[in-house]
Parts: sequence; C-alpha cells; structure tokens
Amino acid sequence: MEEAVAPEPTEVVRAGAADPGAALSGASGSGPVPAPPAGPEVRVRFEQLIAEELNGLYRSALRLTRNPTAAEDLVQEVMLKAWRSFHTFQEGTSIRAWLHRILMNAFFDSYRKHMREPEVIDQPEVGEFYLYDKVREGDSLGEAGNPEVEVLDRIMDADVRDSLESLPVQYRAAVLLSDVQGFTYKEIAEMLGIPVGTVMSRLFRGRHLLQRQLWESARKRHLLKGDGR
Amino acid sequence: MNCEETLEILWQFLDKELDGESTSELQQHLEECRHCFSKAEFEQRLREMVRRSCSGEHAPLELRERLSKLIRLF
Repeated sequence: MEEAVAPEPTEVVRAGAADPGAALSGASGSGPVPAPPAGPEVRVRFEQLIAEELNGLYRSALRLTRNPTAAEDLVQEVMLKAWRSFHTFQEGTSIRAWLHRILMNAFFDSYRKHMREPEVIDQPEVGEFYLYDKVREGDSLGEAGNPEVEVLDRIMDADVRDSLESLPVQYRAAVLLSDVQGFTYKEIAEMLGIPVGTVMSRLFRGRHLLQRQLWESARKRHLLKGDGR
Repeated sequence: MNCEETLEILWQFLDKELDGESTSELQQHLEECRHCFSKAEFEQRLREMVRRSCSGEHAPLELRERLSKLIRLF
C-alpha cells in the first residue's frame, strides 16, 4: 500500500528540477551551496538512508552509464541533489523511488547534453517471447529434460548484464526500472516523465531486444547445439 | 480467455499490473493450458535471472566515504 503514495515527493522534485534556479540545479556547480535547514539528526537519518540505498542506486547507475567512473560521478551528483532537497521527501513514501527519480533526471539531462547515441533507434521487429520460442523450436540442447530452463541456468550473469547494457538507452532504462528494480508502470512513468502506455511499449520492446541479445550471447558461448560447436 | 489473449497480457500479469478480473481469467487459462503455463514460467524465471544478475555489485568504499564528507560540507 505504501507504494501507492510513492510518487508524491517526486512531484516536488520535478517542480524543482524544472526551475534552473532552484536548489536542485547542478551538483557540480561552483561555489558553496546554502545548507539545507537541517539539524544533525536529519543528517544522521540521511546518512542511514544512503547506507541502505547506495548499492542499489550504484547498480542502476552502472547499467545506465556502462562505466564505473561515470556511475560513481552520477551517484555522487544524485546523492547531493537528494540531500539538498531532502526536506521535500515525505517520510513513509518510497525513498528508493524518490532517489531513482532524481537519478533518471540527472542521467538523461547529462545524456541529452552529450548525445552519445540517438535516444531512440529503430529496431527491427522481434517476435514475442523470442528466447523461449528459439529454445523450443530448435530443441537446441538436444537433451532430455527441460531445455528452456537449462538454457537459462547456463547463461552467465555477466552476459545478462552485457545484454542489458547493449540495449538503446530508452529501452534499457525501462527494463532496468521494471525487471531489476521492480517499480510499477506508474512509478516508472513518473520517473521518466512519459505516459504509462509509453512505459509499456518501451518495456515490452526492451524485453524482446534483451531476449534476442541473450540468445546471441548463448550462441556465442556455444551453449547451444547446432551453431558450429 | 484463449492462448492469444493470454500471451497478449502475460507480461502485464507478471508485472502485477492486471486488474483482479483479468488476473483470475488468465490464471484459469494457465491452469488449463500447458503451453501457456510453460511460457509464463519461462518468462518468470528469466525475470528472476535478470534481477539476480544485476544485484551483486557494491558501491566502492571510497564513494561511500566521499559522500559522507560531502554531506557534512554542504
């Protein structure tokens, strides 16, 4: 039930982020930033939250930036922004959703400035449930038992991360927020500033693409019969 | 609910985004159809695998310490 009210504080963040003069702007900006009206107990509380949320946030930043140094910089920016606007966070709502909202804003702001790749790339159509269909159709393992499950068991964690990171960033963000972080469509829509319908289409397309990448990576690792092993 | 309708909304079901009525219709179909059940199970396991694969990394200690210092400064 707690999740249902989670978007509240992120609305405040969005309002702040839309105003370039607001306290949320540029963690890397020059000069001292006015300290928030926070007593030591607030800082202790915030530090406790950091301790709990830092790893999860860092992992999301890694998937987005695909680079450990960039991920550290991004997390630092996000945590400082979160600290400065911590007074807008509502106790009892999801801190994880709130931090991810700030993370997504910060990442896509910087991403748009640098434009390392086009934001949305036209992708060839891929079938639904691509991986499952592929595994079934070829009887790829040629073994008795449960071929679908066996293929999954053989795929390496690093291959999954690489496959996810190979997706165009819009699809990657949607899959990350749903499949890895477990946010609802509504929470993701608010984090990315897009309608729920767009979340669903990016998510479903992203999953198709992820499955295709996993299939390619399984083939390359010769996990499957009939690919030149 | 037939197979086509089931697969159309399978991901929404796995994402727990379906309303109660569609959920029970879909569950009923999964109980009756081995093919769709097998697909649903596969997708569920794949999701768990993706989540698990992305849950092992830890933020560097230096980052943790730097953040602590920065928060005291600002």
